[in-house]
Amino acid sequence: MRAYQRLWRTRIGRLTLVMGAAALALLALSGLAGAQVALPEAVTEQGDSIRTLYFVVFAIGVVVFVIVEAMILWVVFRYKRKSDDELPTQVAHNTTAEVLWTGIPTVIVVVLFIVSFFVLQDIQAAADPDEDVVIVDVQGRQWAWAFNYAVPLGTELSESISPDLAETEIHLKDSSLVVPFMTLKIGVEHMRVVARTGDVVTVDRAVNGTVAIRHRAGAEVMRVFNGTDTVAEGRMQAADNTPIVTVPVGQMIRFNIASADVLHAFYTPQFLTKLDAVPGRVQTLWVRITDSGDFMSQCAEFCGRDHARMIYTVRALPLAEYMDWFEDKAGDAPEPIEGDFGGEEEVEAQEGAVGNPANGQNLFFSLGCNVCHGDQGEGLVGPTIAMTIVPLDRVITQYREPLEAMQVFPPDKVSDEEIADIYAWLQTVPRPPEADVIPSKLAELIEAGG
Amino acid sequence: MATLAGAQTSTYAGANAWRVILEWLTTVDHKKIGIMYLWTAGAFGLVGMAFSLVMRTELAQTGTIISAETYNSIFTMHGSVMIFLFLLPVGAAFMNYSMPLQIGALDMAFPRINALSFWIFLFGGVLITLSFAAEGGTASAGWTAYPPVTLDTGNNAEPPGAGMDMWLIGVILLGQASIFGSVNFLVTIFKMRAPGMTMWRLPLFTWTTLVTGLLILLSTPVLAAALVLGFIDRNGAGGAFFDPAAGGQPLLWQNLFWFYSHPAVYIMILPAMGIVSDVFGVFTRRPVFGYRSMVLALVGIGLLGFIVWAHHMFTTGGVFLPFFMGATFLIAVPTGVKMFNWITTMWRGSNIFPTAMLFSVGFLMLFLIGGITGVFHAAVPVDFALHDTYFVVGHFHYTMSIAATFGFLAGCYYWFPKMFGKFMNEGLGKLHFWLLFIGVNLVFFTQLLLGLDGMPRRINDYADNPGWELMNMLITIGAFVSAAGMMVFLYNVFYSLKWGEKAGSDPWEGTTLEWATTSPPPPHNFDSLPEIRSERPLFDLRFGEKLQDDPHYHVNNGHNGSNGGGAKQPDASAREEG
Repeated sequence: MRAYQRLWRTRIGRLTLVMGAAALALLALSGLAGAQVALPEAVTEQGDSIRTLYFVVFAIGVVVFVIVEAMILWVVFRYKRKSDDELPTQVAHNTTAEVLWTGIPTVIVVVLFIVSFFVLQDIQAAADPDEDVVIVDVQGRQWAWAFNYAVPLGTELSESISPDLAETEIHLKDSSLVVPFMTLKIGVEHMRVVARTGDVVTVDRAVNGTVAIRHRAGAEVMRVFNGTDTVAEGRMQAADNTPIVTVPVGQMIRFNIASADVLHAFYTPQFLTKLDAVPGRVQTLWVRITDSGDFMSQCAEFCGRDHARMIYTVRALPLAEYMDWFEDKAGDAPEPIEGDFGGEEEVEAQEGAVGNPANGQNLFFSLGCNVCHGDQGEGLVGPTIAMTIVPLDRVITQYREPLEAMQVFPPDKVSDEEIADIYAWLQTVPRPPEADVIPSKLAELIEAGG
Repeated sequence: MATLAGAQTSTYAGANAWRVILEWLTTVDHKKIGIMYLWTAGAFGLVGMAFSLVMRTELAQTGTIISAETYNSIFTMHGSVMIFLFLLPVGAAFMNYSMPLQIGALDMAFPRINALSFWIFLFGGVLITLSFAAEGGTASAGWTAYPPVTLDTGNNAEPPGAGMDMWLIGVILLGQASIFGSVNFLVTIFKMRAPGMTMWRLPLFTWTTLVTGLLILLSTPVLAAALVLGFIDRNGAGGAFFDPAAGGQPLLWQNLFWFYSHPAVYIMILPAMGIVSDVFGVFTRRPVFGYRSMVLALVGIGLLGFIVWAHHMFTTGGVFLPFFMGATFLIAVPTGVKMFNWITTMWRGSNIFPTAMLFSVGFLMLFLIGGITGVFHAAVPVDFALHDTYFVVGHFHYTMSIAATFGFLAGCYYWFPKMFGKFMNEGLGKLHFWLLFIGVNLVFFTQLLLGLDGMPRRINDYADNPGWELMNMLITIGAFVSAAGMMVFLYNVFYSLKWGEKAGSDPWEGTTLEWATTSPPPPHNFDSLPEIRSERPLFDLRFGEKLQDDPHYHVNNGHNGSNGGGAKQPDASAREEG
């Protein structure tokens, strides 16, 4: 106690005590909260680089903080007015000091810029051209995620989806396999067939390849949130029905990030990075995952009412397990996918008359609407119907007593409710700029169908 | 006439009250307008604080109390009210009140436009606040209002209602008020200075007013354009500016919005910096260290502020990252210069610490944390991790919200005696300071930690991750401690208005011209002005003779040149940094 009092009597002592107490209190508080002053351990190579850069910035920040804060406390505690007529020094300049405190921070930020620049180059680098890349399409939408997977290189399609291929018209064009309007539920990129032996089709992806398999809504993961009642007790934990995007460990992964409606952001805290999903753009995020596991993730850009509930899980599997998973998935793909939407009846009950877009999307393909109206309802031989402004009851009439060349769909083939579902889905599909899509698609159709 | 006189006598008190109200409603006096800005902005600030308490109550634990819609509306209004209706107009309040006094002017250059801008501001503010009554509630897409969630694009699940339009129109009006105000400030500073008040003798608060005025003038029209485009997109046929489904560009909004809103950060913080600069000068009895480098740093921050807007958009994928990263890093340099200048002003000073000075020191400490965490965001890869998490919430509150508020509170304690002729109570002031200082650090430092751990902002409920609930509870406690501090302040204001100790014309031994007139000043501001030979005319008057032999005293060493009459002394432009 006496030592403490002695210390308190000197200015430096008081300063030390105050600073020490403040630091202890802060440490205690953060320790109590289980917090740490570092970013989480990264599970990707890119995240590791970011974390290293963070520590560089952090170290400089702490040094600057301690020095400047100590200077502030020093001048506050050390220099006090002793008498009313005391006049301090009127020194108002010191060129050396001013040059130093302009120059040193300049050097620090230039160094930080250079280091950050190279880290940025590093984490944004694409895969080597000859490297096998896993491609996942990510689509954010209010308030759910859709993940679609490109068929991995070398997948033997015959094993998994040849039945579907057999049912689909296949036409050769420029020595590539062209599969128009295919109702596959996997694969996202345009693919080019690089080899075909009997039933075994080997595909390669080519971003600008000839039109090929364009795949539809996720084989796996999509969950439509309907407000707080779909989240148990309002708690946000990775529940069974959380959307999951499954990816392999060790491969370069390209996430193509897009949005169906408003801004979202693809954010997995343990990747230590995020990228916005901007409607009208497809953006690329490259990662190479180093650890397997489930990583809770969440939309990070405000996107309306249930933004807080737009969670998903990144599931990283060892490569062999991933290949098994993929082939299973691919085999499952032609099956109806109601189960993936968290229970159709539930959703229907909640959405009532509005319609269930997920179911609508299935029906759109199973009824073959896409054959004439295009995969996105963008219009082929039939008119553009994406985001149609024709009222629902008129649309139902069109199904029953069609104008123009459309085939009749009686109620036993598609019910009014089901039409409402399709209608609801069509409202979620962006309407493409008319000029571009139809002529090329038409041309393909003519070429394909003869 | 006799009857009229009789009526006047019988209802004297009532008639007087009406006359006072009418006088305030029709005043063009910059001091009255400044005080009206202060009261209005203060009231809006309390509303904004109430919103933050609602948010913190919701977030104290996992689970929800209010609906997601309500939460979204509250956080949107918290940001909008605090920025557009509290921080910006509080700055305008002090600039209105003190700047003309500091340069020895009679009033603003355009007193009626000054009144007009106050009333436009008030109307815009009321319009935004009234949107709670609109169908569909207030705007609820954040104060940044990023489309397309603000638009009825056809595939936006819940397009906002009329509240969004009220918000857009309200902010257009506030912007117009700002533009009028900025022209007024600039013309006043350039044309209305007293004889001898050269540019290099402007008090630093006036310099910050000048730079702030320039920033407002150059950036606000861009925001106005964006708001008009947004309004057309929502209401006009075929605007298609920001709606991607119609060929628009959502990122265009972000570019336009931040082209204003980044400079707006400086529009909010610069007046606060000016206040603390003046306060340090007075309570240390020293010249503000490196006056000219301070001015250059101010101008530097202002200029750099125009080329860093896209650092708010690093994760959009639509930005040329290296350029904006470099420019953002560079801002640390002039900011550091200012920090060191403030500290060395206190160095070897004859310092006293009334509440105004405490808040100024608090400003330094908070702004330091804000500045350092800003460097984390400037490093783009680190920003990829931290953007849109609570780290950025902590960062920007430390800088433009809380540091600025500390500066403005220093201004309240400092200029209150000038405005009302009475001191604010020092005991209550110190209690206010400590409650607020502890409270805000508990809030915003914990938010930094929470952000590092990956909690995103703008969510009304959060995952039950280890530590998150405890950290959120600490933040909530901190918020209520801060609010208690502000209640002490509110009480202090009313207490001091009624019972405050009388203050003379120059209660702090001030250095600048506003202390050369009575408290409160007469409508015409000054009966006479002292000779202006430096940026501290009253200091020269008080201590000039005593310091005759001090070679560092800048009136002696020619650093501040002469006034118009002193031909013997070197001209200001010939001055050289020592």
